[in-house]
Amino acid sequence: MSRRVTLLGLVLTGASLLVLVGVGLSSAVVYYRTPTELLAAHDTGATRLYGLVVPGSVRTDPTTHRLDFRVTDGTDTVAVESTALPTALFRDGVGVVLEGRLGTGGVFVADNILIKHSEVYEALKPGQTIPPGVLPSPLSVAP
Amino acid sequence: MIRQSPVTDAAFVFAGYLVVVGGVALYAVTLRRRVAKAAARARAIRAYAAGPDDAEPAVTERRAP
Amino acid sequence: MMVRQTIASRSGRLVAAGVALVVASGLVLVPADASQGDVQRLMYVHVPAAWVGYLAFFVVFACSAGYLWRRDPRLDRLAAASAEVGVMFTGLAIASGSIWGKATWGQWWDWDPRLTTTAVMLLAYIAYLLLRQTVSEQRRRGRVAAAFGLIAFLNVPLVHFSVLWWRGLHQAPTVLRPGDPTIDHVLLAQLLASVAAFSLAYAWLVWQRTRLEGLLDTAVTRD
Repeated sequence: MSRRVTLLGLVLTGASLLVLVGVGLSSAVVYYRTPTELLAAHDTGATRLYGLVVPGSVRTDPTTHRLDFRVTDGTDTVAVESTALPTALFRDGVGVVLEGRLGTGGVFVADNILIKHSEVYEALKPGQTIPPGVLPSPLSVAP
Repeated sequence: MIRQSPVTDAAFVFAGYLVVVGGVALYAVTLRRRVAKAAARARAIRAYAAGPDDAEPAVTERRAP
Repeated sequence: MMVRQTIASRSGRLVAAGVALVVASGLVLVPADASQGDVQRLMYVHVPAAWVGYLAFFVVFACSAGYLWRRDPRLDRLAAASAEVGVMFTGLAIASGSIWGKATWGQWWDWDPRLTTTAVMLLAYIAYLLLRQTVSEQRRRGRVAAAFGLIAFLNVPLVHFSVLWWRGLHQAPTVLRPGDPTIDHVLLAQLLASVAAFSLAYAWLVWQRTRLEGLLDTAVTRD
């Protein structure tokens, strides 16, 4: 490798590093807000909302592909509507990070549903199966 | 109907293991080749330094093999 | 020379067998996780790869400090070797984490603090390797690289504590946390065995890579 090419690579790496730090700091310092914080802020801009899926709150609409549920931080609860498809870990009580904005009527419209799973791991006992997701499994649904 | 990713758990696990184990194995094999090449070159240089023949040295400058 | 080659080959095969063993047991022997199911098996390659990255960069840090103090070229070579191996393992940790993330979070990548700081750490050590290429004089290269190696290590604790200091998508530490690890004994044993096997692989690769660095330096100075 010629010295000039390497130097150029070095400069490019340094520059992308700075960009990364910039992007990271601007978006990561307050990565998400809790329902309490979101409701207190009355902010309707694009944001991330983190909460636990309220057990029994998930409703799916097969025709509109719409998903309705509620998330809570234990103090406040926010109703959510979305057409995004979460992974199979989407269950009652699971932590979710929602990307979207607070719409009119206090319903959070989520463009994206990410599962924030816990750092707790437990061995599956013989005969035991993992809890089913609240959405139908792709393996059990005909295309 | 709302559907989740059709990719099965097994496929994700297999892909992840393949990437990590394959990556390490590939690096290890390449490294062995680099070492062998550099060792051969070092031997050639030593032979040149010790020998009376006035052949050109194999390498005069450090290059990443 | 030939004896050393044989030792390298035999120990290499031994390490490879160890890695194969933990991979096999991680894939089929240990029970799946009660919440995530089989996907959690990715932990047994993702976590060791990330851990080896930390280890490698700590070695770069220690050798850099040692080099600035002692000016021993062997420390400089060890630092260079460890940086390259660390970059490889960190890259693999990101790749396997990305696959685990797609399966559980629902996304390959996210600008979450843990992922962002890890990307910065990887780039910092790629820059370290590139920097070494730009300086041809050995002693100067050693000094410059050692200075960079000290500074670059600031990234490493940032990566580890990012999940505790800031909110993000990535979960908090399971083992390296105050209090008991939040993982069953069987799964913990598998995880620790994987970490041990990967650490041995790291040691073998760094040993070979250091030898290569020595051979390259010899080729210059003896000439």
